[in-house]
Amino acid sequence: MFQFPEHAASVFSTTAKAEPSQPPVTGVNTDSAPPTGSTRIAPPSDVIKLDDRLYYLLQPPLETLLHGETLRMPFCPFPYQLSGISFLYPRHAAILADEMGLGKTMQAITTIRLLLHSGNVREVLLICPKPLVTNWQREFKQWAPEIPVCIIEGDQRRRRWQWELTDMPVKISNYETILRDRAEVGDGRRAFDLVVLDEAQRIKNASSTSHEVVCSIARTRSWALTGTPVENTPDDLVGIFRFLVAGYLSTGMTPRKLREATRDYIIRRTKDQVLTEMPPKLYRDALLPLTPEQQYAYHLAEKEGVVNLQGLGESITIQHVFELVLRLKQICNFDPNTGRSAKYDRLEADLEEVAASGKKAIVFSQWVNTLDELKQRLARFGVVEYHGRIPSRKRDGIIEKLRNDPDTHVILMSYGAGSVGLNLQFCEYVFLYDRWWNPAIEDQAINRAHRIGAAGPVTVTRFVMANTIEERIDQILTQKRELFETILADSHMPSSGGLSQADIFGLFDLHVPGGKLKIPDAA
Amino acid sequence: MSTSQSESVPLFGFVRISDLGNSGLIGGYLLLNLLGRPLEFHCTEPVKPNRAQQILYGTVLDAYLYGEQIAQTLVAHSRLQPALIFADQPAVLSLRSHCDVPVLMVDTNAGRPDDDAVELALGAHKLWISPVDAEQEVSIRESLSLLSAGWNLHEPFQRIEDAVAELQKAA
Repeated sequence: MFQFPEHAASVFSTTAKAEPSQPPVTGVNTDSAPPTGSTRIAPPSDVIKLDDRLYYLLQPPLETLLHGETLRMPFCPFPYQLSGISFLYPRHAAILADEMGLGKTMQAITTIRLLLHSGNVREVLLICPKPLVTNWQREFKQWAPEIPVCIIEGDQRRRRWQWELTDMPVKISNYETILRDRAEVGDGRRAFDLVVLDEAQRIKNASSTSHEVVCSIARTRSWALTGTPVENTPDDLVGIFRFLVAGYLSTGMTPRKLREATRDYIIRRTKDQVLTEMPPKLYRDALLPLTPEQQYAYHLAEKEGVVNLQGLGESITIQHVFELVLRLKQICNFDPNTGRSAKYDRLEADLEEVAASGKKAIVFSQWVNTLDELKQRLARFGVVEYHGRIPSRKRDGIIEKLRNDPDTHVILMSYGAGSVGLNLQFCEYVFLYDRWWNPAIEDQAINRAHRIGAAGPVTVTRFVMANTIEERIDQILTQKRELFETILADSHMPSSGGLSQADIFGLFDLHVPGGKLKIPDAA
Repeated sequence: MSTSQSESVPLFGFVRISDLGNSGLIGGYLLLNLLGRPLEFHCTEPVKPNRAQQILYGTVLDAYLYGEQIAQTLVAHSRLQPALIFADQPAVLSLRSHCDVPVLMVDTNAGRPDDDAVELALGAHKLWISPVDAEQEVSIRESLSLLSAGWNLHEPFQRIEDAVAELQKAA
């Protein structure tokens, strides 16, 4: 008689922890290309329960998750971005410390999106510097369009109402507002499934009020995004970790011990490491809202300008329109009365990271006056200038100073002086503070840094003020650039391609007696 | 399989038996929805044939262990019923004699599992069904059509392997 092994009937079982609340099972898009990669989500080392570890191991690869029709992505993420997402997804405490320009925002948003869809989180709070709020809002719209996002803003009553909203899975606030709303969110008054800190180096000082308030927010998961988790001393990291895992690190730990202790919590990639097979030029369009002061000045100037133009009737020339465009563009740079500038706020925030990471940046403007203003305001980053007012004999020395002086991080350039004939391959960041009329000139300017022998891929940030003349110019430039790329894919950019009269006139809805203004044909 | 699954939401089962050498065989069964998300996972403790079984079953020992002893036990423990069950080991196909769900062999280096097996396709994958299911070919094709051609049918087996390895580590 044979004895059959009884243990074959002994079965370990586990079932799905949380039924996906959304999306409903609607099938996958059979027309789209199949996922090719296989980026698996590995359980972090601090997940100890077997059930929890199996939960992560049994999840499909990210490519499969993102292939679903309801999670369409605007662009195919780079492999390193998928790795970043799979790193963040299972973690309750994590630092995404990628170098600036590698898409920390996109990786965080996509992971939040996946966690929301899988029902793993339901309430997310994202805290970022004030100038970056609109950027986050826009990125959410692009990368997670179906996720409702609430910006915490306005007066106290409005903010209180916004904090109470239960149908907004993602709330975005800035560090200053969080301090003011301490009574609403601090000390465990409100609980979140996930709190994400952008530019988390803001809380590195454990004795600061920001640190104290942020750490007092009740939460299940804590993530920090920063390109420079260690700015000055190893204790910077300890400060951030007090938010992530309170008590895990202590001040005075040696760098080696810190590295060992934090290995499973931090992911950091540099452009050198991951951009070997990617386009070496990364564009980041910063579409920003005018400050209230700029808004007021802008609308006043636009209203008056258009009235004046219409008053000119048939005697109007392109010069008249051009003057108005220039005036409006200048207001987009700085409010003429108060000096307030949303662009400047954003530039300053970005340069903080550039300088902290020891990198160099070029800031382009078409006006020397704007460069002068920036020179004063950005002095702490170590600034040199290079434009038409700088004598030729001094120019080489300026470039050498930027190249060799570790405390000089920024060169301010005019398009005219800095667009050709310069080799600035050691600059990894280019900021177009205002836009030139011609995409080819912009490209030449950008290519000062993006050249053979470049220190690394170049991140280009193009500032555009929303709902202004700049946005309209940007649209036209984009169309022209796309046209060039379509037609002249294998050719050099032609030197023409600026705005024509029709383009410039078309920027305004100009009406003259008898109907809409007819645009002259000839330049 | 104690309860049946709603017909409107077809599920797909994957069975993989891991051979741990001297430690025996461990079976894993993963039930996925159309998006590839896991709904259930079951796995056995190690199964090791004794000498008597080896003599009694001879050349069909694998089919007995893989299909009847292990896979059948796993599927029977499942709460939800799949539309199809996939396997990538020929010996698992004998499961079909012990459950009501069509069992499909996913293409492997082993090639066609049986001369009488009926060949189907999903994207780049070749699939074979037992002659027993030949009459159900239409409904099987319908169920397959719900899956995107982009489904990588080998990938869930890797998940089972990883989970089994994790369980072994824990043991």
